[in-house]
Amino acid sequence: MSLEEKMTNIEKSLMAGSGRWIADFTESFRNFRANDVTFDAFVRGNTRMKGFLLSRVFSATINPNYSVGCFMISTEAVKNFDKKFLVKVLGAVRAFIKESEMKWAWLIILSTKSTDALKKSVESIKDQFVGVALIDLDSRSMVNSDSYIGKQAKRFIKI
Amino acid sequence: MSQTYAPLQLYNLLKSCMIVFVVQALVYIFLVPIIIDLALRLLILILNVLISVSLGWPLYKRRYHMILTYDNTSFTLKKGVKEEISHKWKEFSRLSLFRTEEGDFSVRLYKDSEFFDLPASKLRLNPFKFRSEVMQLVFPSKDKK
Repeated sequence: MSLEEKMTNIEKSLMAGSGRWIADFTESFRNFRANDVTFDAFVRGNTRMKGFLLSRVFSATINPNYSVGCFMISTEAVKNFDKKFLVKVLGAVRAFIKESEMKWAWLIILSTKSTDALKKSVESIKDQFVGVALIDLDSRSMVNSDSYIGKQAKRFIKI
Repeated sequence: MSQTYAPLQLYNLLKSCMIVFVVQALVYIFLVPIIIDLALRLLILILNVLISVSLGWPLYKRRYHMILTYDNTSFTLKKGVKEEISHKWKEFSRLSLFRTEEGDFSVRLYKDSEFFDLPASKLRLNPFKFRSEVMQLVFPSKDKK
């Protein structure tokens, strides 16, 4: 499966599949630029689910209406996707969620040649507002950041 | 090369037939409140259904049927016989894939703060492929990255 196909699958999963259990993702942008970083995709939504009658009433009274987003970036387009670049990307995500008053966001890194150093960097992230997941398409494996949000990524990503 | 999409939108066809059906049913309820004969009731129901289908189709074609025509420079979205909207692709600066509350996908084209939706699901297009195609038309010279 190519990176583009995988990205489209994650987009589908977020907007019309299992991602809907996490948040109501309604809009997806491609080649999304945020604070000097171009993301391959950005999907945004909120935590207030829409439904029919009772579920709508339930959602409106129980669920908080937090704005959330999911950024996707592939390592293919970047010459050297190392820890330094990861810090830059995370900074761009953090700045964006602050600007747009988002409660939390996910950053999904799609890779065909991820190194152990990059995997360790992702696993060591403890950010409570940005969940990071690194998908290695070659080995068909995924690592995520060490936070509740990071672990939630497994719920909408099928390797 | 110009392309046209005008599939039958079943939901809207059913909606048109239901509108006619409900109007007729209301007329029967108010004008003929007590019809005891079961055969007559059935006859009225069959007549109601037949009229709903025969009037629902023209109503659908007149008000709801959507036709999308586009080429490399512009597109025209026609809804029914009255509503026709045309735009040039280059008028738009941003686009996204949008999912409505009903679960339908549209390609949303942004012009400054305004936007225009191309209803991909209603036109029975694969929204993800259609979005890619529209991206090529809106940003013809831009690289992916």
